[in-house]
Amino acid sequence: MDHQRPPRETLRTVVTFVAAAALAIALVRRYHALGGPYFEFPKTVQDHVAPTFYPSRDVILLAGAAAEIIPRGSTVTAIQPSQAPDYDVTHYLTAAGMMPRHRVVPPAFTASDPAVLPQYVLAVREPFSNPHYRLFRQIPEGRIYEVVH
Amino acid sequence: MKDVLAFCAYLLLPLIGIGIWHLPSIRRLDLGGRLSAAGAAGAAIVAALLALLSIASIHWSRGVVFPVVAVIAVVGIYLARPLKRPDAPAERRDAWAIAALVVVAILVVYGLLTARMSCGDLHFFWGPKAVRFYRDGGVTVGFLGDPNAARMNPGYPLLLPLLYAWSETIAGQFSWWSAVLSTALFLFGSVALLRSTARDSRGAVLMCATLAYALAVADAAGAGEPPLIFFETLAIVAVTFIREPRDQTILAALGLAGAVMTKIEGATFVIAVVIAMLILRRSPRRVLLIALPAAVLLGAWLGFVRFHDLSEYYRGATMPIYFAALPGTLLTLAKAAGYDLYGLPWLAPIILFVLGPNRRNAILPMTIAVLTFMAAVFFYIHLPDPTWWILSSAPRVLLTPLTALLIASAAAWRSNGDLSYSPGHGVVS
Repeated sequence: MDHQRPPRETLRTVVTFVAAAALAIALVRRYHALGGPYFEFPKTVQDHVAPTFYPSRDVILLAGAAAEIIPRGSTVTAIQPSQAPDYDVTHYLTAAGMMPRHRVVPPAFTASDPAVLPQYVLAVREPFSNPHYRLFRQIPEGRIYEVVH
Repeated sequence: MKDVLAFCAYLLLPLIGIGIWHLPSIRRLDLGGRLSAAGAAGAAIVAALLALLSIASIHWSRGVVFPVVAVIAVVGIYLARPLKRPDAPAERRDAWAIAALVVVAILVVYGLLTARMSCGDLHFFWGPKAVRFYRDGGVTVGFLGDPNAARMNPGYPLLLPLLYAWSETIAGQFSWWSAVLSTALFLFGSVALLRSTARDSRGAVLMCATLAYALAVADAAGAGEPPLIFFETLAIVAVTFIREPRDQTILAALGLAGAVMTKIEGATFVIAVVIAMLILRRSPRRVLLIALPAAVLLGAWLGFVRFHDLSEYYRGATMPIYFAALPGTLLTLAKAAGYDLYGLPWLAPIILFVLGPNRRNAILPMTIAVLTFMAAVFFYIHLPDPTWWILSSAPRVLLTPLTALLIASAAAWRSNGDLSYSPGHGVVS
């Protein structure tokens, strides 16, 4: 019975529930700040970690689509050309998880011999300009390039 | 369907680890606590099984994994009989606390299912490693040693990718959503362990709300922190609330072994627990038994990593220390520790600890909290300017001391019904 509760217990109850309520409200505020839509199932697990989509979120969709198009076993890499090389790791590792039947490699385009270049490049959001590659397919999240032999 | 099956794989873990119910202390827990303890054991069993199959070069397949798991579950059920809790003490229903737990649980599941808590590392290396393990039918040196996989942290402990691979084995395909949603199970499991061992729903409410918020701010869903927190909670509640020496040793050892095989930070946690217990419990033999499985597993993993010349991340402590970076580190760490809420996640449990009538009972988890916090500072000052490192990692790294603090705040209010109490014997000392 509450009226029999020692004062210290009551204090504990107040601190606990006030803190829990504040944390729950802060959680809701955080969810709201991350933007809508709030009641739609997102396309990827990265959709609402920030108010705007991260490029790596678009790589998830781009690589998922590329996995159905690019021949299995091909070497593939993923980049955002304007941000290279700073975010290369996040892009090609993300592609690696989405394309288990392909051989995803780090981006390296300095070789003059096309035989050692990645066979396909996933360029998220922006065009990729390299004389060894030509556009293979385009989807909303980016472009797929194939090496020219 | 794939996502549902993959998620069911995590729900099966308590069945696989149900044998742990034969421990008398586990029998006395409520259903939530028993399921959580069995889940921890099940996770360890599955990870160990997949690792042993890899060592024996036996290709993972449903035909191999399922029969072994089924036998383990059947033996576990036999050991756990009777499954019903005997002599369950009458427990006061705390309706307000249960309502609060339900509200926070709904918020957590909403945040996970709308992709508002996901960690980038899930897509960068935890997930891709599991996907590759599954494709290869095991953990292979060929993959871990592949230069193309060097940025996937091949020297990281394997428990989480192995659990993800288990889920993939059930579903036949990797489910990113089930990986994210598993965070809810690890969080609720941690809360259930505290609520059950401390017999304290109010402490569980604060832990659930605090960790739910902190996990969201840290964007930790799908990463190593949720299972790390889960195993750490098991270890801390075992040494804080479990009275029977044998049960305490087994459960704490399971928690430490799980923590050390989940993340590198788990090794720091083990050291903190060992130091705290040596200082406060002065029972070197018990401490040795508790820490031994974790030490053996870590030693074996490090031996494997070094033998195959994989990337190794445990040498940070031997790097130069920049004491000049200490003031800036503390300031930046204080900012990160605020969790964008003026430090409320810390303030509430600290206030409750100070107000608590049984602070002596909370000294051990409080010491673990202080030591793991100090360890974070120690590692950060190994860079001359760790600002970026702190801001990007501290919200997750500090989940460990925060969890220990939350358990300490509950222990300071221990009830006569908690598992540390035995009439005529006092509390655990």
